[in-house]
Amino acid sequence: MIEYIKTRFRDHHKLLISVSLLFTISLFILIAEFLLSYYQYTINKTVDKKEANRTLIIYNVTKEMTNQDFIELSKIKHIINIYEEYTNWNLKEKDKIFLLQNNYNITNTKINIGHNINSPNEVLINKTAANEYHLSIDDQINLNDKYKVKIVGIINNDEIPSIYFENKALRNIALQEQAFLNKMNIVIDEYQNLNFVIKELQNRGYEAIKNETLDQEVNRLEEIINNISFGIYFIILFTIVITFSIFNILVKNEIKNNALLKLIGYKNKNIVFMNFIYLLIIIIISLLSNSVIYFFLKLILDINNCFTIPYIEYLSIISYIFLLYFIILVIISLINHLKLHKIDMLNIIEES
Amino acid sequence: MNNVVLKCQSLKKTYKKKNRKLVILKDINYEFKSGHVYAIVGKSGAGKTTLINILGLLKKQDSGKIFILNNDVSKINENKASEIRNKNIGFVFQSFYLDPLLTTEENIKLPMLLNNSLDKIKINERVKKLLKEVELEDRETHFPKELSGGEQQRVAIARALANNPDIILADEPTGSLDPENEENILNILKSLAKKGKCIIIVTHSKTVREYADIVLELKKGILEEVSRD
Repeated sequence: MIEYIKTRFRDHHKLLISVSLLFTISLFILIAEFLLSYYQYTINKTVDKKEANRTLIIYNVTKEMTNQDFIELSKIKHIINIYEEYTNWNLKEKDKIFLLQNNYNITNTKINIGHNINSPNEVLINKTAANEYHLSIDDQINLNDKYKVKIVGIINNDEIPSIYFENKALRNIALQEQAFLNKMNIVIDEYQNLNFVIKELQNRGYEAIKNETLDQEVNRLEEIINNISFGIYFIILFTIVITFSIFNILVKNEIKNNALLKLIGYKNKNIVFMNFIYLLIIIIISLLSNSVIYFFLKLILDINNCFTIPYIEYLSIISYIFLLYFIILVIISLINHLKLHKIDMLNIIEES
Repeated sequence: MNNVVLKCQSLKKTYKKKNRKLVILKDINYEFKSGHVYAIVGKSGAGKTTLINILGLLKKQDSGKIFILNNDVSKINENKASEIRNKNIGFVFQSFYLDPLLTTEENIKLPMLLNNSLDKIKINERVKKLLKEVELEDRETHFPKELSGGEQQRVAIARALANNPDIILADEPTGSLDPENEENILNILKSLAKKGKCIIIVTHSKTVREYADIVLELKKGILEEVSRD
């Protein structure tokens, strides 16, 4: 039977046309998925670029926030950090006035001298503070005669003399000083989850406001994504119709051969199996050709630092396309099997 | 020789067309023996092709029985019918119907691929023997489009003989051949009959009637022996 299947590929025109059609359809899906991934990637990149776009500012308007509240809020799904971006209040040491800030977002690379904070008593200061007040690493500062802290690093971050505290340490000071603890920034994992978090916060009695710095741009990109998603549904529908038609034509084209095979003693299941394998090979060839194009393009685009679909994503898309083709193939084979029961072999052959 | 290889008993076949019953085969009773060439003649629409379909187990009769090599095959299922067609019946058609994608050798091999008792070597040996029998040894690797009509029909005969069947059913086998090729094909079929095959030919051709050992006429749903003239 394998020998017979091999001979079907001698019809190069039929092979070329069917492989090209399946190849083109799968390419359409891939291009649409590529665009989708590209815009998703652009959104993520845009959002990542400006941290603010992933944040919410919450105002505690109905109740005073406690440490317990803080812990509870941290448990809300999609929230990855809660912090006071800056407190808008300051503490004095003698005649020196510092703006108190959170060390969130300060990485080791941003520290010019020293290291990052390791304990609540350690702080970073900015270069402005260091220059203005002649402070350096290992100096002690006694804020309001209450809080003794040690400078462990200097950063070049701000023009206002500032002290950067560890998250919890700053919150404790703020609580004791009755500062503006009711204004917090919340960072969430994905920009798309903002609405969910807003609702959760509102349910807990907080007023949450979306930071809309890049909202418009993201909305525009999201609109494009929605359009592409709709386009993909359309392409999939188109794929189903076209693939079904191609397979149907290919099977119908074989009807005279099938009639002959049946006449000389081949069973229906043998004939369906041979057609099935033949079409399966066509599917595999078209998807393999697609993969060759993908790897070739990826190579070129990677060299030029352009966006490409990652291998895993590509494999999952190609698997879905294969599954789609396969399901249609199974349906066509079942229809073919039923048709073979009814064909008038002699008539079909004589008609030819 | 002269054994009954195909027997029909009270075969009946009717078609329904727009609530009208059309009796095609009324009461067919006949015993086809090995070593003979039978020519079935009759007017167009007399039911010759229907009879060939039923004898070749391609269609079911409404009633009556068919025996192939003394086995009742009237009520067998589709798969069993396929097996019998593969082993015991060879078909030859007016339009040859060879697979255009297969070479002469492969077309002849086709029925043998289902025969589990034949390995590759035996199949190749048999193909060579058949090619010699139909005098096409030098056309082994040719595709049908590279062969003449007569040569294509000889390939079709070789294919029909692939599994050494007892019965050859031929539907107008010389219908599209010139007189010279017609004679060649009929000589081959005649020689096959001499080797013990039962050849049943549906035909309109006078030459075929002359070549046949027995001429049967299908008239008003009844099959009767008639003279060769």
